[in-house]
Amino acid sequence: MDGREVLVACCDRAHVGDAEAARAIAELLAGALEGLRVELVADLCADPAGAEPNGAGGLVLGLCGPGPSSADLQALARRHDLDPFAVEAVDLGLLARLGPPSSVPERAAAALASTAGALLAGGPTPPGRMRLRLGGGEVSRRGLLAGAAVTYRPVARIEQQVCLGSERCGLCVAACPVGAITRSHPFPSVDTDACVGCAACVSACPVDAVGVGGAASEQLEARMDAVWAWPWRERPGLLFACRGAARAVGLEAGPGEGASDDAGPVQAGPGWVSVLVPCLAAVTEGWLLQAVAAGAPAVAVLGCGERCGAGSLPRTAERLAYAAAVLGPERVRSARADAPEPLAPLAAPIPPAGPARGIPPLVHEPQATGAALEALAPPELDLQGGPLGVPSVRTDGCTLCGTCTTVCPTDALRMEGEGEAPALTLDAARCVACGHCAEICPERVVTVLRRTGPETLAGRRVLKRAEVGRCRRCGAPVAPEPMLARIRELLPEESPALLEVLTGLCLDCRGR
Amino acid sequence: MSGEERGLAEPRAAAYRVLASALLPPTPERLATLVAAAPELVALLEPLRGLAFHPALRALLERLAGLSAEEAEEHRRTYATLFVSGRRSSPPPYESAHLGPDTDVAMAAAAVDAAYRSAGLVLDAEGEAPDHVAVELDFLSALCAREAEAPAPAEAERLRRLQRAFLLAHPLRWLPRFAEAVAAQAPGTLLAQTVEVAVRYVEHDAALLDSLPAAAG
Repeated sequence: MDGREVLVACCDRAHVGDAEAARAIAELLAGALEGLRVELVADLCADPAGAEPNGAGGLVLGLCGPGPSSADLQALARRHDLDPFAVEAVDLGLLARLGPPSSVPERAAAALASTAGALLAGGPTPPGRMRLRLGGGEVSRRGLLAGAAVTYRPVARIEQQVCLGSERCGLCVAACPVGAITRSHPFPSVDTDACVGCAACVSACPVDAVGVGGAASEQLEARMDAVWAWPWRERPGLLFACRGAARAVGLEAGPGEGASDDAGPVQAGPGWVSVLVPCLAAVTEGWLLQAVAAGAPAVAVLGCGERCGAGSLPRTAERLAYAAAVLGPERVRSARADAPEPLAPLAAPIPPAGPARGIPPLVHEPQATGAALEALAPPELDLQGGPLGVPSVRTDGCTLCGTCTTVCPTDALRMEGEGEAPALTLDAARCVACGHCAEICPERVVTVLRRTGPETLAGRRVLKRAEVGRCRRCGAPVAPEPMLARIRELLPEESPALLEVLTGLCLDCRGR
Repeated sequence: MSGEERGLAEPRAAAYRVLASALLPPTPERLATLVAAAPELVALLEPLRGLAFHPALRALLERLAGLSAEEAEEHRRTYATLFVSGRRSSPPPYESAHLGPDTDVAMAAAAVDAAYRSAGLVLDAEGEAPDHVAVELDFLSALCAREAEAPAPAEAERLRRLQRAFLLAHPLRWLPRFAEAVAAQAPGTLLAQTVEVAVRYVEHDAALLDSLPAAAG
């Protein structure tokens, strides 16, 4: 919000039964984040659209139920001349159902701080990250001028100054669940008609070149960070909740009044705190692992299931399976809004929390998974599938030409020591198994397995090192010895004199 | 042409005109006029309230309205340092300077000028070069103003197509890079804010023009 304030307007009932609990939420929130202001509003839930930002650049509504639709939230933003994505609602009624009443104020305050943090972290939404949409049906210009019919849909935008380009990367293309990003040249392009704003591309981009309205990487990071950094009395499980799914569950449950009388499915243990995300398609393995590495006793997702517009269900299932393999199945849960009892998977007892390892939340892969695995240091790690890979190089055939390193989007493969003793090095924690290296290798000596193994945590290591061949006239490096040997091998019929020039002289000396 | 149609084109023309004026060399007279007119401009642009760029544009006008003499002097200094001094690192306010190293500057400027001529407009010989940021925005303002006065919907539609084509062919090709350069060289200044708002506005306006035909009804 460009240094401006975000106001958290919290219903004075706050779905915890009395004003005292609502005051507790406000007290816990006060000073939680710089730039955050809190106001308790009498019976805000009766008229959430009447909330006043009172000069703040963003507004978070703490409500007893799911509250207004996204279109209505935008209308509220419009009325107060705020950014279209600067007003969000948090369903405290849903939170109340995710844990015992005694922990509601703390979990509610943290969830509000998470949303407020995202608004504080984001500036005005760049026009390219949203798509203007006039309301459905017949819309007159008068309607447009009155502002009633205009809404903005979040869409992805690729920043070309940062993007590695289609040739080298294209991970966003692979990550997009709806095929809205295509491998055009030199940069991938986004079909904003097809884009559903799920932000899968944001977490897949290794260099932070993609942003989605309301879900820039710094905003997603801020959502997690507020919960990571919260001074918990007892750390709850962390629930990544798709905004649409949370709304569907909240609507299903009714307006949410009188939580203390209407016990939710989770009534024991530390309960859950929610971090709202655009879609589960954005929630990677790394996000799940990081939550537990940061001290949460368990991690869960709440998605739309079969109704997901991004079709995230299969990919999310794979990610949960990977997280369960690393963390243990008792620490990983999956809830679906389209299930008969959506929140039932969250009701099972949560195991005690492990140590909080103080890692910062990372949005992008492979950094997120790599950092989490390093922090968790799981023993005897050997998993097939997952977000990471292990390139295997047949070293006797590798000429150290370095071509593979030029197409590695994450710098997992890198040439080092050029000019002296060139070496091909690998940091497997950075490998996303894109396979570019295997495709481009002229000697066909690279294969990539989608796998997390001991190599993943081994740090950067040398795959092959060799001496450099030097110019016999000036001593400058010509090429790695294996490459020179390969040239001789490929040109057996060539005259010795020419071979001597090609392999024994540097470019500068060849013309003399 | 209905009042509704005119209603949208007029404030769009005004927004372009404001931004163009704010990006011309800030002579004391021009800046004083802009500062004096800023509160009125806020009201004039009220029909655009609700569109995503409006808060940024309003914030710019409010900053202008409250500009002190010292701030005005600072603004003139920033403008001169960046755009007049000819420093090697300065981002020139001309399209031809931002299209890449192989660009023929004269040809690029001539292409913009040709776009003006094809719309029936000829530049004042004494004024800025055709590819100056303010001139390009002023041209769009003129097209919007014509749209507001168009005698028939078909003519208004033709003018919107012209605006969109010009936006894509010219301002959208270079203004974002220009804005980044200005923000890097003069962060937090009125000039950087003005250029940033201009980028937001042209990007949004292109999106708006994309959406309008569906609403033309």
